Amino acid sequence: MKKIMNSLMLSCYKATELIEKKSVFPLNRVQRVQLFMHTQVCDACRNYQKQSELLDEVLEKEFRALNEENLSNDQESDNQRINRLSERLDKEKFS
Amino acid sequence: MTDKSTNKRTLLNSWVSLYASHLHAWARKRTSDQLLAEDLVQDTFVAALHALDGFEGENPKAWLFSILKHKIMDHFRQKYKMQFVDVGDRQEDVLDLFFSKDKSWSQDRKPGDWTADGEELLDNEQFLQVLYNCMEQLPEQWSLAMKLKYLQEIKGSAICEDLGISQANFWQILHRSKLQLRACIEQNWFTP
Repeated sequence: MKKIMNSLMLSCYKATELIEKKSVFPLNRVQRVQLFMHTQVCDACRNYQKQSELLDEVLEKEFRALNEENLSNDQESDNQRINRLSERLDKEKFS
Repeated sequence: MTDKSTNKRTLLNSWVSLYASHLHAWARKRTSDQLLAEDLVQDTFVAALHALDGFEGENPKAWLFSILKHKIMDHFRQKYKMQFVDVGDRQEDVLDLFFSKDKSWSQDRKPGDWTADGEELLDNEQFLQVLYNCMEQLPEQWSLAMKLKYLQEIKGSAICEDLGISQANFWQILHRSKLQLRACIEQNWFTP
C-alpha cells in the first residue's frame, strides 16, 4: 500500500509542471489522479493551480481583445496590401 | 516578357486576388503580427512564382497554404531555435530558485493566498499594467511560447511544430514562464 501511495505522490515541482501541461495537452488518467491527490494535501500547489488558471483566463481574454482590435484595423488596408504584393511580384525576374 | 512568363503572371494574379487575403488572415493569426504576416505572404507568392513550373496539382489554394506554412515554420525556427537549444542552463536556474533539493517549494517561494477573482482583475487597468510589465521581464522565447498559447486558433501540437520543439519542451517552457510570471505578480501586486 505504501508503495502504491509513494508512486502516486508527486513533488511540488512535478505537480506544478502537470498543471501547466494540462493547460495545453490532456493529462492521462494516472496524472489526473496524481495531481488531484497532491492538491488535496498541498496548500501551496492548490494556490498555484488557482492562480495559474486565473492568469490563463485573464491573458486569454487580453490576447483575444488585442487580436480583435488588430483584425478591425485590418480591413481597410487589404487592398493596399495586395497592391504591395503585386509590386513585389512585378520586380521578380522570370526564369 | 515572353508569352510564357505573361501567362505565369496572369495565373499568379488570379491567385493573388482569390487567396491573398485569406492567406494573410491565417498568417496573422498564427504569428499575431500584421507586418510579419504580410512579409510571409509575399515570400509565399514569390516562391510560388518560381516554383510554378513544378506545380501540377489541382488545388492551388492548398499548395499556397503549404508554402506559407513552411515559411512560418522557417521564420520561428530561425529566430528562436538557437535560444531554445541553450535554454537548459537557465531553466535549471529558475527551478533551483523555486524548489528545494527534494523538489518541494522553497520556503520563501511558496505561493501565497491571493484574495481576488478574475472578473475583478480583468477590469483593473493597474493590474493589467503589472501583468504586462511582468510578461516583458520574461526571456523573449518564453513570452513567445506563452503568446502563441493564448492565441486560440492554434492548437498545442501546431505550436510545437512551428517552433521546432517537442511537446515536453513546450510545457516545460510554459512551466518556467508561469512560475516567474506568478511570482512577479505576487510581488508587485499582492504584496503590500
